[in-house]
Amino acid sequence: MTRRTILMAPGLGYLALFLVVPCLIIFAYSLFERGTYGGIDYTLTLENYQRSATSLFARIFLDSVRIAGTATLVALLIGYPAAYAIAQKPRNRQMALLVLVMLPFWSNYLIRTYAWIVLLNNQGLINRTLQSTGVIDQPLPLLYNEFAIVLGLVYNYVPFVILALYSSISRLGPELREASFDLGGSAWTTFRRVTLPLTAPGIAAGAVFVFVLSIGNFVTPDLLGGGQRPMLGNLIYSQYLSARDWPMGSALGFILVVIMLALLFAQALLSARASGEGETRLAPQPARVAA
Amino acid sequence: MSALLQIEGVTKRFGPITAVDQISLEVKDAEFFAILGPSGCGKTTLLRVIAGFEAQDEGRVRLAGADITDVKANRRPVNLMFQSYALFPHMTTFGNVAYGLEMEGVQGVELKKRVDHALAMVRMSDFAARKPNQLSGGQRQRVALARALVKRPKVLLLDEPLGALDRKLREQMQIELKRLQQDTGIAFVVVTHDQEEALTLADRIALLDRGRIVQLATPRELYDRPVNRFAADFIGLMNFVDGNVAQSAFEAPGLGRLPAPNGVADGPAALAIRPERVRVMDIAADGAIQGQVEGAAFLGQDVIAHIAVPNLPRPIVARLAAGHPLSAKLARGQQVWLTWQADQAVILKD
Repeated sequence: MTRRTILMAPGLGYLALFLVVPCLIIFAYSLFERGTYGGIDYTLTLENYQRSATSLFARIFLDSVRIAGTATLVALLIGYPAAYAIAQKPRNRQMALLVLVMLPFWSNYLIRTYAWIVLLNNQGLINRTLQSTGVIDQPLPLLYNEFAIVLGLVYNYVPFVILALYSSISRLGPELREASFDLGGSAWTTFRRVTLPLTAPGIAAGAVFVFVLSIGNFVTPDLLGGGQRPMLGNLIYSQYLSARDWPMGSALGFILVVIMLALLFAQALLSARASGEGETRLAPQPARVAA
Repeated sequence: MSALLQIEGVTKRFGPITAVDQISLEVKDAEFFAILGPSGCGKTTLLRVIAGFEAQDEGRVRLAGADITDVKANRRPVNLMFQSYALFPHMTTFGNVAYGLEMEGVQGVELKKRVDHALAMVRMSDFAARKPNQLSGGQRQRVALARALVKRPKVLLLDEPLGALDRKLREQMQIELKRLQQDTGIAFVVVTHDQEEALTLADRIALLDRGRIVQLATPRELYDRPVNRFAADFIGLMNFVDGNVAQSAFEAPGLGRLPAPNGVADGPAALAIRPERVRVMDIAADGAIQGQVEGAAFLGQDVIAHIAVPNLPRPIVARLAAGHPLSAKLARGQQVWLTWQADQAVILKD
């Protein structure tokens, strides 16, 4: 074995054992029938995939896509200006600000989610403040709806978006923007034609991250959505644990895995193409094509 | 020729550091102007003030009579060729060159015509569809030049235009830059730390040190008549002999008394003489200084000889053309006599 193989073996082994094999097991389960009292009846069938296209499942699937998509969009709209602003600061400040961005992760996901319940419920801080100042009479419906789910997802994943965008924006440097100004471009044109396209890989990375994590999330829809609007993650959860229909849960799980893989693949493709172009930015000297 | 670009008393500070200190200069129509100086002398800051990327703390910038001090970079009829070229990596050669014209609203046939013309001018027509990462360093520079020139700026600013190129390519591009400047009639202002580049390219040179202009002159004047030791030292090779000026004569131990030219005040001074102005002889002559060869190096076109003179702390460096009868014969320890024409030496006060 070469040195490289030895170094890579533990990581690859881990991935194979705990990611690839379980995925294959799930895929295998999804092709069988459900046992009468739960468990698996080893009769091959495609029924689970046919059922996942029925209106009940399709609606939850579309709801999940919409919620995850909204969360992604909002996270990008919040994250991009923040990442842009951080990237313009002096180097030592940037690090401090990034630490601040990551600060929420020092506490537990569940605790942070419960904290939102405390803030958002009818007697919560926000409603009480608004009522006592006379802005509203009746408490606003802030909790146990789609708004609360999107809010929770955005809150949890915005730091990842900022990190992904920051690395993309900070690599850009000021020169290309200055070149655009110099050639007569306005601030908006410069953003639209230079900064935005060149940070597209960062946007894609951040977007895929939020979307993939959101669409599979079942804690936030459960706690902040109050189970009113189940998402794909909740559906899979209930198929396994409440309905005891493992094959159906497996089929839904496998569909989710395929969606995630497709998105990650698309994003990898985009960033690979961009990094080819990036060479000029990072090192002006070496020539790939001789004069 | 009238003044095209006028810099009037421009000062730019970064915190406690004064990068540009009360600089005034004028660039004429169709002139090739060089701003020369060591790194940190403020030359790039001055260029960025002209381009509009840095707001000066004091002073005005005028272009063709109009005050552009408060005009933003994207509205100044001035273009900058960046040291790193700053080509847009996601656009083709054509897209890069077209960008500036699109900002002016040029479209369609007119756009294509002007971009093609600019690319032809820098001989890059065959590479219009390539992206920057598919071009060599020299080709990228041509694209950067075309991108700036296609806007027909009143002044083209170039930040260390040849710095990233290897020696051979650099010499070739020097000639091209000169040709482009003459063909377009656009005033070029080039910033460089390379004195040779400035001497070769420029009609006039502003030599900067610590944010101030040390000397503003033609290459010939700068080389032959440096105003102080910094200027004399920065440009080319120079011998310095420390001594004293008294009663219109320069006196230094080892040299004796030499006539001091035109009204140099009495006091400590240095005599500066270029190595190629030092005449080396193998026989004594009237008024010649006697010395001993310490070493000689053959450089192809000429020979550099170090000659120790009694009572001088450093040897005098002389440059002999390779065709000089003595050049092949100079050997360590040999007695020689040195002389030079009085008007070719410069007496410097500081």
